[in-house]
Amino acid sequence: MEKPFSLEIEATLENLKRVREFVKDAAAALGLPAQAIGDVELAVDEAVTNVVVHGYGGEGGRLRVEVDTEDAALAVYISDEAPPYDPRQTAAPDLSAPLEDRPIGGVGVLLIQKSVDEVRHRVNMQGGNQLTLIKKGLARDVEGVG
Amino acid sequence: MRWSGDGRLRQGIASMSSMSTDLQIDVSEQQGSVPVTLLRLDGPLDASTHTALESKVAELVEQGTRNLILDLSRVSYMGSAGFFAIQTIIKLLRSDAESGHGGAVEEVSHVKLLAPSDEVMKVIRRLGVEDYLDIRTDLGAAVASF
Repeated sequence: MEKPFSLEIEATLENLKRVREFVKDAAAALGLPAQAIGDVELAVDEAVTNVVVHGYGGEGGRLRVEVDTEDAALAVYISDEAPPYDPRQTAAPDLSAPLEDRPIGGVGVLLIQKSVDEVRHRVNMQGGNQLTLIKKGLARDVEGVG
Repeated sequence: MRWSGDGRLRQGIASMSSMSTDLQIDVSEQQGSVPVTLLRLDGPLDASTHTALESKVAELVEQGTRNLILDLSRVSYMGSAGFFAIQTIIKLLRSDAESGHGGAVEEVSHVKLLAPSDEVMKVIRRLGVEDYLDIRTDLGAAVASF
């Protein structure tokens, strides 16, 4: 089913800003409050960065970002054709360790988990991944679109 | 997942190493009890721009910079890549201090963060790293603190 807001774009670091702007505009149009929009922006940026850097290894590839509502929540669907990867399985970093000693892995995923209410992942039938980020807090009078 | 618009997406694949010009970096010198280099950042600090900051600081350290203030008040967006850039810069200046003292651990901070924007503070708080960073709100006090 077509989503009301959909962006197909090459998965490159240079396109991160465009993806963030697209998601911010869509979230605002669907009635998400400003602070929550910033949270979604952060989670989407981290997720797409992972696709670009780890999923496609910097070689580029297809990326689709869609925004819709699920009940009273905003839903962002991020689809790629990269090898299957479930970010929820990434170990959380040790936040008690000194700053200099912390491993790089897992920090982006931690930010995703702290910025949205739910993270879902599935491997698409044709291969590739779909990551769904759910952010609660839509205004009550906003009904699902599409 | 079904893809549409085949062909157009493959155009314009950008290199991972190319630098975005979205982040403006302004360099100036301040004089306290020691020379201090001030970097004012303006724009997003994400996975597409962080290497520009790291390269600039590496260049400055090469030229003799030993004390650094990062003015983050105009950073419009920061993700984990931006945080890692700051972490890298802290390590870079710390290790330089160590080499000047025969390998002894130098505890004095050589990097101060000035007036981080709300977007930057959100990430710092979510990562729980406030206590590991030297955050200042006033430029004069930051310069005097070295």
